[in-house]
Amino acid sequence: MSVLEATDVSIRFGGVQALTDVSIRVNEYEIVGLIGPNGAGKTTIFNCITGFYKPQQGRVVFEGQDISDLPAHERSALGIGRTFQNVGLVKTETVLANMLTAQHAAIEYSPVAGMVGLPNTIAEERRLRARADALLEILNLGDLRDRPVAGLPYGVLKRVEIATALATDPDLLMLDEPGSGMGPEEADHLGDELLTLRKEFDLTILMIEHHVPLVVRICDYVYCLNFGKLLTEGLPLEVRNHPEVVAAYLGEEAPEAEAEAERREAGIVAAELGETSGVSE
Amino acid sequence: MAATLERPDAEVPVGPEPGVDRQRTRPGMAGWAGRAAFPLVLLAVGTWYVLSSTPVHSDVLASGVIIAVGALSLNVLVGYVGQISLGHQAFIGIGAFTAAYVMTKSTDNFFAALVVAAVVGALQAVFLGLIALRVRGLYFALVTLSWGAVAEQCVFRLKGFTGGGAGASAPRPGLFDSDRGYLVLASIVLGMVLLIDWRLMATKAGRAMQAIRESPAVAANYGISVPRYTLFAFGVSGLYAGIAGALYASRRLTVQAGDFTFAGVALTYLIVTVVGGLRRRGGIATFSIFYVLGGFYLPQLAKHINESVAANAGYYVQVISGVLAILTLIFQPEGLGTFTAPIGRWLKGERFQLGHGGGGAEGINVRP
Repeated sequence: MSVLEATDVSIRFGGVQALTDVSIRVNEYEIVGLIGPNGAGKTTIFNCITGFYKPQQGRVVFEGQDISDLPAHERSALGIGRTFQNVGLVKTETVLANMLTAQHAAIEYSPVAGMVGLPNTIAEERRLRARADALLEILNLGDLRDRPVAGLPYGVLKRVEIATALATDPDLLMLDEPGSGMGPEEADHLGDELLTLRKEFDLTILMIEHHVPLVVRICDYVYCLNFGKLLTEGLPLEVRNHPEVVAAYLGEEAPEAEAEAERREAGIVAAELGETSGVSE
Repeated sequence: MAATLERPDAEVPVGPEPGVDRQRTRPGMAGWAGRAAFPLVLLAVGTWYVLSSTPVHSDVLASGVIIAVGALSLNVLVGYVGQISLGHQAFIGIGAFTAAYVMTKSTDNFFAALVVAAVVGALQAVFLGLIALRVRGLYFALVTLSWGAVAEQCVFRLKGFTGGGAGASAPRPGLFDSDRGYLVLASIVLGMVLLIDWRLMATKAGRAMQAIRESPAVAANYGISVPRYTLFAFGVSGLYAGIAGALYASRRLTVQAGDFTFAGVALTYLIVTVVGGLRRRGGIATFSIFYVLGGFYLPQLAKHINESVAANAGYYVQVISGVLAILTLIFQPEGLGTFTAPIGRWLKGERFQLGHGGGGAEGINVRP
């Protein structure tokens, strides 16, 4: 059964066609890799799936439900957990506070009940805390519980972010370059960790990753994007050895439009972090 | 729960740092006794001050308590959800005139008027919040500025609502009619607002606001509806402001349009919020009191210098508070909260230590 099915997704920003007819399918319990050179549109398709962008064309179906028109927070509540390329955490807060915030959708009491301090809200807060602590223990982050996020090293932040994504109780975990900034050995450990997490939490994982050995080792299926189009898909080794993938990575002539598209995308993501309004059109 | 994942030694996270990590040791009997004694001592000092001074002093303190409620309202917007408001005279004024209107037109009950003022305050704030969803940053600040001006020039001059130039009268509840009694009432209300504010930030809505302030994208990713909780923050802010307005009206017994100006209310409250410390309710409440006591005692001190200084002392208070605000922003962004927050943590049973509890200045993007 497919957990996620994005069909013919196309999006353009002004004059730049960022994605053209991209279709991605992720089956239950799979780890699916998304690779491609910089500016290929990997983060853009993530943003289309999680609802930060509204593609001009194409549908996104999650667990049999068409979520194309849902806002981002509802998609998150349905069970899509996601990490960001540049670490998406509330940086003025502690690790624990982030873990609590991430459980927002699971909280049953109303905001007003919390405000006036009804007893059931206090009991539920205790449960949230216990769950956050348990998750942090599993991920070996217990020591950092009361540390402010700002000031933690980048590699640690990446792991804290995975913890908060898990706290949203996802069925599908979407990781945007979980191994960035890691050496080969660390990336290898990340692979073990992701395999264990999948088992512990019954997860389906879609991840953007540049460490090809990591992708080959843990992924069940791989998509390769280039210039906003699907270059190829298949089993990890097939994709890795695909002549066009090799060419894309080693680089033919990179046209100007490519660099341009990447710059635009970076700018739009930055703007998006400041605003939530859709950037379609 | 599940088995612990193994990680290589090299990657074991950095250990606790002294001064940052919270001390989770439980205090003993003596420790708790000391903590229980602290508020009692504060209360005793306050009672002694009120009883040993003239009722005018109580009235001054009451005005400080009311500023505290208004500043806490501003704190919800500026501190928690990160929306600037330069039109808080509208928030407070609408609360004050609503309370006065209710008390003159329908019921004598102060508390009913207080509730109505709170609700109306919340509604007008939510209305402003709807604009905030579409306009951001500096542009939204301009919207609030004009909302304040509109309220000053139009809403507060509606004869049917505010009594026009004559103003509207707002009696105090019988039990708290004296200045000292009214101080007690205002303090009780402030206490309730502080409690609500504390629970707000300890639960769902407060965390949602913090996340929205830092990054709407991260908030949405955590499953938080950004529009919904932005509006909620406006509603809460308006609620506090309505309460502050109702208290304000009855302290003065009559309210007029001229009472609610940008410089007199919006700016004062903003300065109190910033110097007290954004997101530091203890600091804000404490500084509100200091602020009015300063405004009260400084002119008296000035009399000892010479007559012309004394005559203009009222302006010096404004200048001094402005300078304080700038110094706070430069040297102590957490304001007076830097000093009150450790006391708050100590009261909750942690060891007493100075040092900030979250919100270091270091950036998050330390990507190699």
